[in-house]
Amino acid sequence: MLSGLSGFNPGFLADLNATEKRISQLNQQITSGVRVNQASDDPRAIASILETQSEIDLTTQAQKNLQQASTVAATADGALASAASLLDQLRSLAAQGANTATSATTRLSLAEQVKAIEEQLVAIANTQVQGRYIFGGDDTATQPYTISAPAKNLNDPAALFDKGTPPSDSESFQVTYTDGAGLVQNATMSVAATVTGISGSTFVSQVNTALTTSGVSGVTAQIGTDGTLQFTGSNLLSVVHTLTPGVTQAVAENNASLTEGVIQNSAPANTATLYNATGAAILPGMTAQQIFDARNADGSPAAGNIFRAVHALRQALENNDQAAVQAAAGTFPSAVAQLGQATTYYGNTQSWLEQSANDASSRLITLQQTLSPLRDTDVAQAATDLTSAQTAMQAALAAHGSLNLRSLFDYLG
Amino acid sequence: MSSLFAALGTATNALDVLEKAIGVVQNNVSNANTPGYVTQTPTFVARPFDPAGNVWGGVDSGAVRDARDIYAEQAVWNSSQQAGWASEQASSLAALESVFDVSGASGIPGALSQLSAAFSGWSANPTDATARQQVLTAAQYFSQSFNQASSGAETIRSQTDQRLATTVGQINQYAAQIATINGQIRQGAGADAGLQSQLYNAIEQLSGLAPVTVRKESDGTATVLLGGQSPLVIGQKASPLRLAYPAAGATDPYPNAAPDAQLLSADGHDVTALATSGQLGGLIAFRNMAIPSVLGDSQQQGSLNQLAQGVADRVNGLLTSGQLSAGPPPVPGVALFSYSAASPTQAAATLDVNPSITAAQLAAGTASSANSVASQLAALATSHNAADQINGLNYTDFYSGMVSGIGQQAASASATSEAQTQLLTQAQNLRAQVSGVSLNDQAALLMQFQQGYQAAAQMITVINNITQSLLAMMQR
Repeated sequence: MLSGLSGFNPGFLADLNATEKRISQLNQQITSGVRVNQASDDPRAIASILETQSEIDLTTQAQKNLQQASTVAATADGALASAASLLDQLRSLAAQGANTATSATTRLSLAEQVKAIEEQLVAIANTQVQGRYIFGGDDTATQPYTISAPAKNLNDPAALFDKGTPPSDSESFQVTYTDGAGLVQNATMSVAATVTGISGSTFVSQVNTALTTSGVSGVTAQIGTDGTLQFTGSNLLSVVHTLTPGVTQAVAENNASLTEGVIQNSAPANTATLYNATGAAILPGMTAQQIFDARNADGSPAAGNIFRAVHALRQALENNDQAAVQAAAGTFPSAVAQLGQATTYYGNTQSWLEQSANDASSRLITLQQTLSPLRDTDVAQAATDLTSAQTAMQAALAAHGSLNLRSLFDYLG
Repeated sequence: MSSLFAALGTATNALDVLEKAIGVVQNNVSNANTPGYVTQTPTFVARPFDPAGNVWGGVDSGAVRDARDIYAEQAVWNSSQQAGWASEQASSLAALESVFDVSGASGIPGALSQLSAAFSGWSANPTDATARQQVLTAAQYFSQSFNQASSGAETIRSQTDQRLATTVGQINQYAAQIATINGQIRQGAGADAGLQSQLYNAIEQLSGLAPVTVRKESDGTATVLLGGQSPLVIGQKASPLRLAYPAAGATDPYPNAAPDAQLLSADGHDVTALATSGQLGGLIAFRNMAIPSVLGDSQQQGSLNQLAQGVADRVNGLLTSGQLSAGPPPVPGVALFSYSAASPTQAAATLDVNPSITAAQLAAGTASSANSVASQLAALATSHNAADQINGLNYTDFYSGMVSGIGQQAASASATSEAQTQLLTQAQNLRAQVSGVSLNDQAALLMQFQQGYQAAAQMITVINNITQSLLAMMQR
């Protein structure tokens, strides 16, 4: 027979403890709103909870990236619209300048207006969003273009080029060509800078010597009729100019100044892709060179080169050369088409970004709906369970409190 | 007349016997709640009675009989061992699982998400200085999350060692107590109910601590063996246990790892394998299996360290495969994380951001793509690329597996502990029913002995009156 001295046997106390633990657990679930506060609450759900939460975090970040890219694309779109408007003005100015009745004075006035538009186009090429150059390609930290100082003709014997500190400074050319066997080759040749500089003809001579020394055949350097350095030849594929930072009066920059009126500060690649929440990728933008400074494979200005068209118009107006004005005006349709391609590109980018943003929002909702039943408390159920547990505890305590604790000793005389 | 005197003597003796019986009852009532005490029942032995042969009978006190049931006791001991093991496992595993976040919003999973987000933001703006700095900040937080988890688990390891020491101390104390009681039993105190209650209480407490088997010897002493093999108490000799933490061997896979706990007998034998139940068994299983699965030992690196090293190596590999500039010569990226390569079981504790790295030294891309490296890093947390996985699991799943394993063990141990507590309670209740003190029974016995005492006293009064009458008759 059990001792009657205490109504609280170990079994009752153990059951009380278990009920109290359950009440505490339900309280925590209700107050935190989370069903799984530690691994033992539901070990099988842990993997799904953490995987889903991770996907939510990644999708949220992807949303931010898309939002940022949308801002850039919208800004770019607006900038290109402004550029299109400026090109329209230029066409009108070109038509005026091409009129045989237009005087030299009028042409000079038109040239000033073209110059102002030229500067606006360069500013558009250097458009920034939050301190980043949106047409900078992979290099958003460097301003893509600068309006150049007045250029020099390489035929001018008084003009000196390639100034710098020897032997560290030089101006180099990487030539891509086909050899005698038809294979694509690369050769780099440098013209060392000098303190005082060298003439254009001396420069070209040194380039041709370097080509010969490097074994490059079928490629020749010469001074063109426009006073620029040009590479020609049946084996030529492309030329890339590079400089050491200490070089001034570089031929490469002079070329650009002569032909386009701008100096390209960097020629970055455009390889940075943007990923959306599902892993699809897009090349979200174009570089300023691709939009405004289209080049041929040999580095010369291509037919749709906007800077070249504008600068050629300005030069022709400054020179009061009606025929040149007419010729420059003839290049504008290609320039407008080039800008149109860029506008279409950014339009497509904006559509992709909008669709991706919508997809990300939908995905987030789906993920949240997946996560909630795994992790969150069913508050109604938990409250019901809590009430039941509390009632059970009160009943157990009341029942045990009414137990007969007397024994026969209480009735002995 | 002589028969009257004999009857007087018999009645007087009966008073003594009943007095002793009442004394047994009061001892039962006094010790009703004494741990290990069982009901003592007085017995009576009738003396020879042959009036024709002038033998006038009477009663003597017989041996006091105790109600101890060895089977009920063993059931309680077995349940105590299982309950002790489960209780220790449940509390230890609950402590260990609290070190690891399961919400995904903090701790290691939160830090991994934050790092992935920083990589993603960087991939969208590979040359942006702010984005680069955010990568360094997220990497720092990531390292700290591993340091904290490792530190938390190490604290639990050290607390477990302290509890092991305390438990072994308690085991040795009870062993010493049993040895002392054995000595007293050998000196003739074996029938002492109080001494027996001390003995059985000590055995029951010891059962909750360690897997012991008990054998009663013919001289009444208790022989206690650990796991049925290693002597703890034989006669008056207690053989104390002790703990050791032997360093890993030079040929072990992880020679610099923290040592496992080893239980040694008094003569220096390794008896760790015998500790399969009781609090001792639960602690040793936790110390030598659960903790090393996370923090490692001489035979394994530990899943927390595997994860730390896996992520660090992969991030570093991708960053150093990238280019900071094309040159020539190309300038590769710099590793972001560092850890102690000489001690793989310390990878999580020593994980840190490369102290010499600057934001500008993070390589976002390669020669062909400006942000390919950053984009790969952004997808690491849930990547399906084999190079981004450990044992076929991405980093998030690997962490989930580690934590859910601990959680499963904790849940199971908690359920087992509740069940074993119930079983122990049932065994204790059954023992109490069989051999515990019932106040009602003792009250009934008291009434019985009281009536007998009153009857014997009345007998003496009657005999005295008769004797007085006889004397009076002889005086006339």
